[in-house]
Amino acid sequence: MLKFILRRLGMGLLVALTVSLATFLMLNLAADPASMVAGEDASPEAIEQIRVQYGFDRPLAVRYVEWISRVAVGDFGDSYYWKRPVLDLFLERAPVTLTLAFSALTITVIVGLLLGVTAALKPNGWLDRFALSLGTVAQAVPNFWLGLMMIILLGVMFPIFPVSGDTSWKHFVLPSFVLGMSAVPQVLRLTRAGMIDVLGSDYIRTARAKGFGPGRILFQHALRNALLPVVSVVAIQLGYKLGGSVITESVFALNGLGRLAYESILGADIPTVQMLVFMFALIFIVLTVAGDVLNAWLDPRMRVE
Amino acid sequence: MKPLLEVKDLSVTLKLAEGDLTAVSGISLSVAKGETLGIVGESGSGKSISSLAVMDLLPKGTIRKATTMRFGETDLLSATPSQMASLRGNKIAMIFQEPMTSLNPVYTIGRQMTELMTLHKGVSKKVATDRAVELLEKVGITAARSRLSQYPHQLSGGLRQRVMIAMMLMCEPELIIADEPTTALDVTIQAQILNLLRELQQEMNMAMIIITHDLGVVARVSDKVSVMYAGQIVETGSVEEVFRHPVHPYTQGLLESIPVSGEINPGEELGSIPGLVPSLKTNFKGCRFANRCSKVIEICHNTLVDLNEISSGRLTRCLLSEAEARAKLKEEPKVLSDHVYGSRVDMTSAPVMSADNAQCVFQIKPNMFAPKKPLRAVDNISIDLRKGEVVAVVGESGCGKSTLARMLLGLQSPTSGTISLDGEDVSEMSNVEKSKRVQSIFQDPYSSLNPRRTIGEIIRRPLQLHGSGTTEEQKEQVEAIMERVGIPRRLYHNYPNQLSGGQRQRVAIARALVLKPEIVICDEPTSALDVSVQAQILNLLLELRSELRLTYLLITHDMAVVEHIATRVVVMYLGRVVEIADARDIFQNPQHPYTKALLSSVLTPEPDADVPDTQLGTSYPNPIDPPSGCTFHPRCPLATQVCKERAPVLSKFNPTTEVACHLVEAAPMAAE
Repeated sequence: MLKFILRRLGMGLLVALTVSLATFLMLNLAADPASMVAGEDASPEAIEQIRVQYGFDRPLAVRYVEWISRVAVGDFGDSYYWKRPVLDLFLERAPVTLTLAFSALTITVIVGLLLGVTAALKPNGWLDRFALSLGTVAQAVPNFWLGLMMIILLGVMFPIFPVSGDTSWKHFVLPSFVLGMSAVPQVLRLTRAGMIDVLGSDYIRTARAKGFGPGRILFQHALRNALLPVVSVVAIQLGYKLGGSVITESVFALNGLGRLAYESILGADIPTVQMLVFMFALIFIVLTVAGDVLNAWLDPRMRVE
Repeated sequence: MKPLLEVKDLSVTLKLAEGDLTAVSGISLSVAKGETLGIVGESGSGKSISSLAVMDLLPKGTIRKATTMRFGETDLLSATPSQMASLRGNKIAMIFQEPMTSLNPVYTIGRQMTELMTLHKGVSKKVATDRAVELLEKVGITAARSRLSQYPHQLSGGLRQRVMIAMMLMCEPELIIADEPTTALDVTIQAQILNLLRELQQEMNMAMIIITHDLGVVARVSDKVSVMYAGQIVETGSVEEVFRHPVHPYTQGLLESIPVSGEINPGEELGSIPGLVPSLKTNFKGCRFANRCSKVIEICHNTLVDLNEISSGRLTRCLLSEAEARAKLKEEPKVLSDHVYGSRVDMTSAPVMSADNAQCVFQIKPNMFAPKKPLRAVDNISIDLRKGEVVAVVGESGCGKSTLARMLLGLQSPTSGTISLDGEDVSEMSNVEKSKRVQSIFQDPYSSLNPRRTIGEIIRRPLQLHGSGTTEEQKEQVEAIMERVGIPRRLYHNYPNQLSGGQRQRVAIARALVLKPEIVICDEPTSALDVSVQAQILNLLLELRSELRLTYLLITHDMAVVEHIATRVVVMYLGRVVEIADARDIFQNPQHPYTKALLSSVLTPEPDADVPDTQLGTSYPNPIDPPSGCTFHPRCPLATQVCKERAPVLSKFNPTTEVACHLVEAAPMAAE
């Protein structure tokens, strides 16, 4: 099992390196980094000065190797805009985004699983139709719009929750809900399809022939099998939520990583953007591996010797 | 003695989207302790539904009606769901057909076995574990204790079915219902499982209901038998009586359509039941079998028939008197070819198709990081097919027979060696050229026909691809071949899903023959079909052979089919040929121990015979890791030291027989 995890992590690291190289190349080749940092109205001399000062005049390969070897010891460089180590920025902003992502994921999993399982118990029944319609609506509604509607409804008309800031748990309720709902349809459909499939399977018939009651069949024999595909998706969803919180954080004025990414892209803060992309890639990889490990624990067939 | 299970007038109505369907109408059955009841019938006859009705495991919304349904002292009709649950797995156990999918993949064998006992008997885990080990040993599983921590996917099909049986015996049930317990298994394992079930049943004095389409299985393991047709029981009686003196014309037809070893006249027409099982949605006004019955009289069509007792415990659902029903129809079987079937084949002529040292090796990577390992699916096989031959390739699943067929068809190129047609290497031929001469019929008529094309289009497609003739001419050809294989012309514009399995296989045959090929490769052409339909298709294949001078290569696991239509037999084991001989010799004087074992495990419907005891102890080896020397040695009762060390070579035993066995080499004439 340990070998399995290490192997997956090793593969993941290779992916992370590839991603970092791609980001590096894109940021440096898409536009001239020196003129981006210098700003729109800078004179050619100023640009040249920045080019030399920031080291943009050296070959790309040298700069990449320098950057990645610093990253290897935890030094992501200093932000051009904030003039501080970008790692500090990351650590400062991460808690907000993590809180948001995990609470959103909790909502996704609870709502998605619950609706998925109840829908599967009686396919084409009214609960099933209701759950599927809800899923379609949740998928069709854009995130920012749902966010704005929630602000109007529960923030302005009935001011139950604060609508901007991140100082108390109440601040996270609306953004978590908005972010969480966006992934509900996927989890719901997968759970429903998996559950219908499993409930019609031969081993569930065996379990019934063994004399188990409906509850034990559902929770002990069916759910674990039906969850297998859901686990991988949930792991990836968490990654999306960390990375894709840009809009939600903007709508609810949360000071998290999403906002940081947004600001640093606008400000041509190359070290910060590079760090964020690399970190998100790492998080994605760790989550995928965690999903695989969880799946291998749930499903013995996945445990390749 | 009062029977343990008594069911009277059971009817089951399924609620389907297109309306109600009465799958079982008014069946009665009973079984006592220590007794085995066989329920036999074709697919859709309602045999499985009846057993699910007894277990109260029918799908939701199904209506179950009966006048009596009693198990021991419990009235099953008035039992609450929790009372039923406490019977299931505890007093009544059920074994299902699909051992590969009937165990939960995410739990260990041990957990699945013990949970049954802790649930019903409330014993501690330790007690349950000990019992599980004891039962696993009883069903012949070695290293039982260590198996408990294994998962189902780590076991072969035969082992899983043993685990399933052991699991269902955990609570010492009084009644065991086995629904097609061996259908998914190879013949050699089938015999072992049936013997095991019988021994256990006698030892524990259980009542057993065995449900199957296989008359051979019923004949050998049950005491009494009920024959089902279209949701009704048409005949009941002791196995001896029913098999020796069948009364109902359906039972008679069924028994005639099975080739019985020793009584087979190769190449002759098998008795078959014409037509199709009627749809259960029909509003029956008369006997349900009337449209297929050879002894039908006027009143059969408009009189509902009851089950009548003709002697004690012997019931039949027929309007004819016993003597009338039993009277043989004066009709000699039509001889399709001369009495010396296959002898007209000129064995000295040049082969029309041959495989020369053909090999197909797949490189298998057990996982992403492990080195590749060779899997020799077909290992140096040389076969010649001569004009007019019917060569059967037999062997257990995984022996490489289907890969061989794919190579001969040109769907898989050999990794070494050549396949040639009339002496020309097929690898240098275009697909159009090849397909003009070689065509194929596959096992599953449900998935081998494109569901989005009409029957006419499917059959016409090869003509289109070969650009032969105008559209009008093609249509004429299609209609001619449809008529020849027995598909009504009105089905031209129908889709495959509107046809029955037998009709679809006829379409597949028509599609294969429309180009007038010389060679037809049939991969298990009848194994997805019901017995009565199987005989129809075999007869058709035989007729077409002599009419169109076809050469067949037949891939099958069914030895009775082989004996009936093959002229020469190739026996394969783990990718190699172990014996090639004329069909007559294979059946009368088999040489290789594996051939002997295969033949002895065939279950013909003989009521007084036991299930043969095949001594193929261990299961089929993993082809990635084949045994040393003769690959058959771990299962061979005669294996010696030399078998473990050196692989035998296929060599001539007599002019028409080749065998690969050290023991046969040593004393070639001793067996004569």
